[in-house]
Amino acid sequence: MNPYERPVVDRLQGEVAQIPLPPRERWTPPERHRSRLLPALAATGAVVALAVIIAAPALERVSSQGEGVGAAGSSTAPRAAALACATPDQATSPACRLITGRVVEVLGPQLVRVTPDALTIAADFENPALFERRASRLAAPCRSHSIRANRRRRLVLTR
Amino acid sequence: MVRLARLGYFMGLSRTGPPALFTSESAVEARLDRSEWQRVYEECFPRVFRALVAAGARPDEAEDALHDAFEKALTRQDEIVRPEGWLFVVGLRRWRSHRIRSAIFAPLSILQHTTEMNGEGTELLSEMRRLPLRQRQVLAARYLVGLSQDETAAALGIARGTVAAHTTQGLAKLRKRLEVR
Repeated sequence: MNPYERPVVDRLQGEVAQIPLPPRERWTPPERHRSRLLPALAATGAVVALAVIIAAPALERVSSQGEGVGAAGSSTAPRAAALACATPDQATSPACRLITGRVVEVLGPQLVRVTPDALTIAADFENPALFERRASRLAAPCRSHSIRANRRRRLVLTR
Repeated sequence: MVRLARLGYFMGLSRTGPPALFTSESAVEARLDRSEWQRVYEECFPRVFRALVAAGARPDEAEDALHDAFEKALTRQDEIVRPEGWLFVVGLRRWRSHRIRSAIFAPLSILQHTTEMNGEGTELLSEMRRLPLRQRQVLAARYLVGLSQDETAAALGIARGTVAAHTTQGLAKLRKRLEVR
C-alpha cells in the first residue's frame, strides 16, 4: 500500500468500525439450556427401576410362601408345574406325579396338611414327614406336627 | 490451470463453486469443532458483517447472509482455513442472490432499496457505496476483511491483476472525492 492510499484506508476502516452491529443476542444466541425436568425424570426412573430389580425377587418369594406353593428355592418351574397340575385331569402330564398321602390336619376349607405314604419321594423336601397342600395346587413342606385328622386322600404332589 | 478453473468457477451470481483457496479437502480431521466455531463466530462476525455492509448490503441483508454463511460452514466436510475470507465470499454471494431474488419476486422492493444505505453511515463509507460493485467488493475484501491480493482474486474469481487494478482505482476515487470535499 503506497503512502497515498494509507490515509484513505485508515479512514475507511475507522468509519466502518462505527457501523453498528446487530443486537448481541441476535448474533450470539445464548447457549441452549436443557430442561431440568429431564434429569429429574431420568433420576426418578433409575431409582424406580433399581427398586423393582431389588424388590422383585423378594416379592416373588413372599408371594410364593403366601400361597404355600413349592419348596425352598421355587421359581418359575414349580409355578409352571402348579399350573400344569391344577386339576386332576392335568395330573397325567409329565410335570406331575400322583402320590398318596395321609391327611393329618385340615387347616381350612382348601388347605390340608398331609404326610406322604412314600417317604422316599418326600425326602427331596425340607420336611419329608409333613406337607401342606392347597386345593388344586402344589404341595409344600410343612413344619407343624400337630395332628387333628387322620384320613387317607389322593393328592397331586409336584415339585 | 485446474486451479484457475476452480477459482473462476465461483463468484458468479449463478455459480456456486467452493472458494478453494480457503478450504483444504484433505484435512477432514482438522475440522473446527463446535467450540472453535463459536470462537470463530465471535471473532469474524463483526468484521465480516461490516465488510458486507460496506460492500453495499443493508444491515439486515448482511446479517441474514452472514448467518447463512455460518450455517453452510458448519455443514462442510472439508477444512476452512481462512474462515473470515470464506464467510465473506459466501455471505457476499448469498446477499447478491437474495438481492436478485428480491428484485425478481418483489419489484417494488428494488425501488425502495436501490441506494441501499444512502444517507446513513459516514462520509467515506457513503462514497464507497457509490463505487461500482466489483470495486466495493475488492476494497472490502482487501482492507476490511484483510485478505491478500491472491485471496481476494480467488474469492471473487478474478485475476490478481484485476484485483490490483480495482484496488487502485477504488482508492483513487475515494481519495479524489475526499479531496474535492
